[in-house]
Amino acid sequence: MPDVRLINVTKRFGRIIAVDQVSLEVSDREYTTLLGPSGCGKTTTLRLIAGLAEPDEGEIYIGDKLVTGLPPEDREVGFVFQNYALFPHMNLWDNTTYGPRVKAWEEERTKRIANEMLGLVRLAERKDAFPHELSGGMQQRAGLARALSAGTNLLLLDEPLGALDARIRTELRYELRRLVKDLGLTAIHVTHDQEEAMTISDKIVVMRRGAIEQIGTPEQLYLTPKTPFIANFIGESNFFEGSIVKASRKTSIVELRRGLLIEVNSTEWKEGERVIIAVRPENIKLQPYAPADLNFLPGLVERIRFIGGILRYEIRLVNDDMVTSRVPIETEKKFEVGEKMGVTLDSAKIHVYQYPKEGLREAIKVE
Amino acid sequence: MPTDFFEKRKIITKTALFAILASFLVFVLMPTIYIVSFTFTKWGEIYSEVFANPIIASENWLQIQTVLLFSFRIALFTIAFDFIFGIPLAYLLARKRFLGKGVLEDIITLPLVIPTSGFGFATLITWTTISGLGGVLGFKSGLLNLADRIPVINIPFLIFAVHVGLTLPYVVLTIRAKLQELDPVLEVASRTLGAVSLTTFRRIAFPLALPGIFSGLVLAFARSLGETGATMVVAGVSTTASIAIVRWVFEFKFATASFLGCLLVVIAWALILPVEILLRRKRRLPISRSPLQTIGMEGRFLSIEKFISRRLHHAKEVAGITVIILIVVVPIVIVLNSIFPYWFRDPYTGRPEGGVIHQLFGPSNYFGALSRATFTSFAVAAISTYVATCIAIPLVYVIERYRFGSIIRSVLKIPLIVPTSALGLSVLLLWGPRGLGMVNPGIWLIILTHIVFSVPVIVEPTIAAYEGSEILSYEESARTLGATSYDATETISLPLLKRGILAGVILSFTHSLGETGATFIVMGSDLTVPTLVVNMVEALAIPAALFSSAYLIAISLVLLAVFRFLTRR
Repeated sequence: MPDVRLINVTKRFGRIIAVDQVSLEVSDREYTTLLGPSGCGKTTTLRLIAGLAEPDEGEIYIGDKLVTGLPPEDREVGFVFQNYALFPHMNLWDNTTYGPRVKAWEEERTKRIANEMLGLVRLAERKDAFPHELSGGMQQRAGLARALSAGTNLLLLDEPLGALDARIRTELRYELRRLVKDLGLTAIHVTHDQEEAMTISDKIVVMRRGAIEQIGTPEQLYLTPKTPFIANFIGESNFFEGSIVKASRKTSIVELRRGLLIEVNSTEWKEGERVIIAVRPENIKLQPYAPADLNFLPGLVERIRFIGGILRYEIRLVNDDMVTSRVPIETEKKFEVGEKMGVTLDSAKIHVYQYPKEGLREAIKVE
Repeated sequence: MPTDFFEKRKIITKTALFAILASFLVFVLMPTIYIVSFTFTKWGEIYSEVFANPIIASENWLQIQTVLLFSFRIALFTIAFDFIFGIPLAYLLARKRFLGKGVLEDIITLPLVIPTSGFGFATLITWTTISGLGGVLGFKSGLLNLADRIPVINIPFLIFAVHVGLTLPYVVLTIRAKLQELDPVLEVASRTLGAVSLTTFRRIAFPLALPGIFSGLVLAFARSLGETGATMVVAGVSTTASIAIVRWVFEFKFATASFLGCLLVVIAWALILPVEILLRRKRRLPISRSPLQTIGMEGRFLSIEKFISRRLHHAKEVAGITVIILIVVVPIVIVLNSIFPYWFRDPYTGRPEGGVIHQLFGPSNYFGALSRATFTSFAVAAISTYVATCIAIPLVYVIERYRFGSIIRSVLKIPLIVPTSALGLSVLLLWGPRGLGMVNPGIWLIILTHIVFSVPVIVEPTIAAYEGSEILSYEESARTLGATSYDATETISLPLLKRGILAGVILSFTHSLGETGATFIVMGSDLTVPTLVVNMVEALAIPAALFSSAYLIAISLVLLAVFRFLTRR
């Protein structure tokens, strides 16, 4: 059972700390994604698991075996590369049988597993083709077959869909997940594409600046983001700066700039504390104009964009804060650009965070 | 603009092109291939001297066969040795980062820049005299005798050491360049699929780098076949093909010498052309499956590789570095270091006649000879480099902008691999008294000879600089901003190429300063420093040779430092 455990793993490159005290557990047969902006340490973490780099501190277990210090060939992992890394001087068949051959498996077993894997990725017909004769999608499927033929139950994927066209990328996403589930594998998938992570994973590990920001299912990350960064990076959020003016037993009231007031269902705050609140665009409802009131923020439509079945309104509030709202296209009441109107927020779906020391802009920056 | 203008420009372009190609033809191509045509035009003379001599019958032909076979044997074992020890070094330089990598690179390049006769002398001193390794290890004599041969392959050790030292850089640098082109991710992929590092090399990096390995070895083979300067110093009674040419020229056996030279040039062509074609095509060799698989040895090989990769991890690198140090570094250090004990007197007999001072300023007055030789060497290097630069820069433009450019580029490789003594003989036969009779042996003939190999030496780094930058698009944008074609060349291309040209100029200067084999044949009475060293060794004026070698090596080390400074950014 290839469950993977990282305990306080640190990796430095000179003075840069690429991976900082990361502890992580991946259960058997789970599809886990390491998600984060480039430079967050996700690829390094994956390379540490595969043995392509050695951690400076900490331990890595695959199953019950401590693998730190073992060379990659002894770790029994399958690795899928962003640029496929198919051997250009070998055809698909020789690429696929490479693992079994260097492990000196019996010819019978080698052929059986290679045939099976090529069949699974729908390339059985093309086994005589050389990599350069195949499309990107085919090459990546071949890369997958090659990794799986080496007889592993742990699949490590480093931006496997990153080099593909948008259309193929979405198709291959589902195929990848189905394959992993059908074969009962454990997969750790690195990506910077949050949409890809949301659709493919059982569990997402969001990394930032070498450390883990939050771990959870896609729903958990979307509905209860632990930090402003997650609220911004997973999906989209509107942010407001404010401070607590009243903290009662059930709710708190936040005062935004210029005295706009919002009631939130969050109670762990003291009066006078500086906070940030985050609201998803779909939880902002458009209303006809009225004067400012608790949970009612008047403003002006500044821009409207049409995105598929959705209208995206950008509204300038009376206190100059910008708000984005998304409403289905059939919504009856339509507003024009320049029209005065107002918005209401769904108290139950507002997230409140302590005001970050480094400032809001820095706290949500995707570098 | 009037059509007249374009007509004029066309004529100018054509004239310039004609001038460039003509100077290429006269100064580079003709001298290299003249020796081949000589064989056809003077076949009667050659036949009567080589095959049907009235006194010795075909003795000369037998000698040609003997020296050719001997040279081939040396070259074959040299590249075998280069292959085994060069590949780990090339891999080390291409893939690993470690402390002292720059130093290792410099050491490996060293034999390319130090004068061959100086290097030969250093090797001689190191292995056969008490000032060398023998003395260092506490023996009362040198470690070896001049005539000692390596058992089994039956090649004199010193010749072998010199040839390995002088060819290893070619092998290491070409293979390294090829390995650097390969994406390391392929090797990483192989490791994650369960192959140990040695298996990965055999199945992935090696087959993919094969064209580079092949061309490196061919280059090394050709160099070994043509090596003259260092071999002359360490050969003793052995005669290789290139030395035979020098000897026979001095015995006035011109026909025999030129026939052997022709054979060597043809062999060089025959070696380099297929490789050029192979590399041009850029096709991958279809070595998909391991050949061991077919003979059923794969399993045993895998376990051996596993053992080596696990247990003898650094053995191969250590072996390569040891070879480099023994063959290149130790001799140079010993020569530079031996001057001091020899300065006033022979440190072992105590006689002042055996000291550097006495030999330089005493009755034999080697100092005067050395000063004259220094002047000749620098004059030759400066003039031939200057002329070669004037030919090389327009030639780069022609190579890059015309379709027949690639042919010129391939032809330019030939002067670099033709045996230098054959090249010297070819120049002598073409321009000298027996040919066109235009130039007598002496400094001007040396210059004409050095131009032949200086042009390609300058062209290569300049082309590298040209292809490394996007000059064509910069020039085009300059043209759209209103610059004329000439302005664009002067203000855009030349400044961008400056580093490449400078690197080529310095390489050419160094090369010219150190050239021995060809110079020996064409110099007449104008000795250069490297040829003077050979003469000193033959006159057994060891301390004087010691001083001159150290002096030569010191100059080239300085030039190497300048070169490094210019090419490193």
